[in-house]
Amino acid sequence: MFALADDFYWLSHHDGTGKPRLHARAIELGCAAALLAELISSRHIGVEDDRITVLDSRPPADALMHLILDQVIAEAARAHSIRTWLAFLGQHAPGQIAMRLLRAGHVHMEAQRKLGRQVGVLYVPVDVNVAAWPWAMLSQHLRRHEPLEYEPLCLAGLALASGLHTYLLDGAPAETFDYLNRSVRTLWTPMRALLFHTHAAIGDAVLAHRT
Amino acid sequence: MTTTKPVRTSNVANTLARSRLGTASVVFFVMAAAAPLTVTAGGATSGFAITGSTGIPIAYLAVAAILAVFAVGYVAMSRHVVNAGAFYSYISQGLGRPAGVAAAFIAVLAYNAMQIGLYGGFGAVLSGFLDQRFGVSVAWWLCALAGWAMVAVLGVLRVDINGRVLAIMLLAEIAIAALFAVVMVAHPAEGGITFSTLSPGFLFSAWIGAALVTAVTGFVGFEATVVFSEETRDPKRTIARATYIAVAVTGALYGLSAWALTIATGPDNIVAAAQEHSTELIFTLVQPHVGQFVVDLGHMLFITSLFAALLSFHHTVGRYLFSLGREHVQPGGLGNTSRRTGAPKAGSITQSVLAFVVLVGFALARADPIVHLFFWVTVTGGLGVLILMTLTSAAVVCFFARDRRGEPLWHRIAAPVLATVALGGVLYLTVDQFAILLGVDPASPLRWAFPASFAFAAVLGLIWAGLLKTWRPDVYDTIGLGANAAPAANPFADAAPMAESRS
Repeated sequence: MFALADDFYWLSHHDGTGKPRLHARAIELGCAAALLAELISSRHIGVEDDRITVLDSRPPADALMHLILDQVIAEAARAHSIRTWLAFLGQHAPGQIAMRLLRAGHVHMEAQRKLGRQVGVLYVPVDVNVAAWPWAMLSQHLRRHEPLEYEPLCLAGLALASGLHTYLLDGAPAETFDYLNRSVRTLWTPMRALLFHTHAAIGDAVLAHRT
Repeated sequence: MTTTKPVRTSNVANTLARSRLGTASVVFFVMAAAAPLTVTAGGATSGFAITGSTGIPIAYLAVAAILAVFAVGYVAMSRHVVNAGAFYSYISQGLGRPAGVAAAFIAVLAYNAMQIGLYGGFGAVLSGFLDQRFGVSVAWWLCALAGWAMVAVLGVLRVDINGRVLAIMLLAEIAIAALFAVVMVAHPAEGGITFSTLSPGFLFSAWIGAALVTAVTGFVGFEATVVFSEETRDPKRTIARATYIAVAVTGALYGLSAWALTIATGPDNIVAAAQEHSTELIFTLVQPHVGQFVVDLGHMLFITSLFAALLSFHHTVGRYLFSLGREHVQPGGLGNTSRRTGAPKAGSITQSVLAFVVLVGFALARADPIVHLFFWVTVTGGLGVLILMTLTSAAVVCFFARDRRGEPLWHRIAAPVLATVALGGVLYLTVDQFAILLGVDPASPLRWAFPASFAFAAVLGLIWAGLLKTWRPDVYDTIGLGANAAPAANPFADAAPMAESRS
């Protein structure tokens, strides 16, 4: 099964502790983009003029994808822009993906404490090898400049859009970063449009930061 | 049950609307950065002392009026440009790209000057307070460097002071400033209560330019309202309302407070008193009437207010550099952010390094922290922002001259033209009277050195624009249009599609 969102979740969280590797807004927008990317890849939704359109309203097998697609269908007549969907889905996307991983038995919940107070929930990977796999696979391929399949390429695109690539390619020479840049440019148009807006939205979040 | 027909209300729109900002939040965000006590206790008193002009109170009110007129066109244009909040995008879309890049260089210099100058005030006030209340003698530059270290760390960690804390501090500052003003008016010097320093006649006196730019400096920060235009519930009205409220409240507070100072000392003695007591003047005047506790509270709020302003301007510079780096108008490396915190890391570090160098320079030169660093440098920053506002006003006129975009005449032409003329007039007077502003001899080369730094920055900007046009036409074409339009800003722009999903 193609589960880009799971892979992005693994990539964006520490494989041992489950703590985020990115700032909160980048995780939210990245996870939202990963959910939309799954539906784009399964050709349930498309991108037309920077707006999300429904291509296929038959329900996907996965429960989370079913839920997201239903939301898109319910608002189909309004044809919201990618940026609107990223902002909307971002509010719950990380938690939703974590719950999908929880249902599949890949993570368990732990209370996150600060100064003895519970401040949130951490989803801790059950198996470090499973959690570290997307990072190991992608990092190896990119560092060896090997051509990427579609799915790893999408993941590489999400990593670049969210700023995770500096972690993915930590210490790699500049040519490897160039290789990543060149590779993601070969993605098909709807995916590139999605990643374009993900990158821009995360950049804007830096500018419009407020407490 | 799903339906493709439009439901009556949009779940997406409603959910997103809930997290949007109202007028009050926007006013708080920008006014907290303006830090009222910094201006009423520090800016106004230094203004009296150094410029020797008694017209400071009326200058605050006059500048508030000019800025309100400026805001009309500025807010109107913010509805039609992306990347709102950065003066250079208005200027490049109104007056052309070379002017935009020149404005970007001026802005970087001006906001840096505002921020770095505040270290002088922070260092001197903190060191004075420690000495006076605890008998601990610490050099001003050590206090300033301690503040610098905190700002540098908080900048990279992207820690802002919590919004609620900031709001409480702001309200407390306003309350203290208003209380002090009332106390001072209630205990006038021999002459009794007189409105002579509020006389419009001062606006035509010989020294008014220096007073006006001192006042402009106090308002810097209000222009940030438009940054939030995309996050408000009703961008059309919220931003306009918030901007006018911010200008009106700060203007009234500053004007009243500066006027109260002249009442307590008597209009004829204010300059001498300010020269004697510097930033302590306001506290010295109210001490006999309100007691030590309130004065201590005022002192502490003065220090925290300076720190909040320091941090806020630090973030402003960091974000400005980030946005310029992201669009490749300045080296792309400045567009780097911290992965873990999302702070504009490169921009923040650049600002901190610059501030450190300047601070050490002033400390080694044994310069006076209040006169030479706090007043000279922040007022120079104010001059830069004044230049930017004048150019922006002209840009608004040109922008709407090409396309009306459904804005009424008052927004498009009348108000912006009026603002351009008024701001241009203030700018002329300021540069003409810069020697008075600095308190130096009219023949001193310093009077030209400070304004010339902006001319130098502008020329550098123009040269840089020319180089960009030759070397990076893709970057040049999208200057000022925001990151969404700039292909150089995004690795996912252009190029031919190839890899497609096979599922």
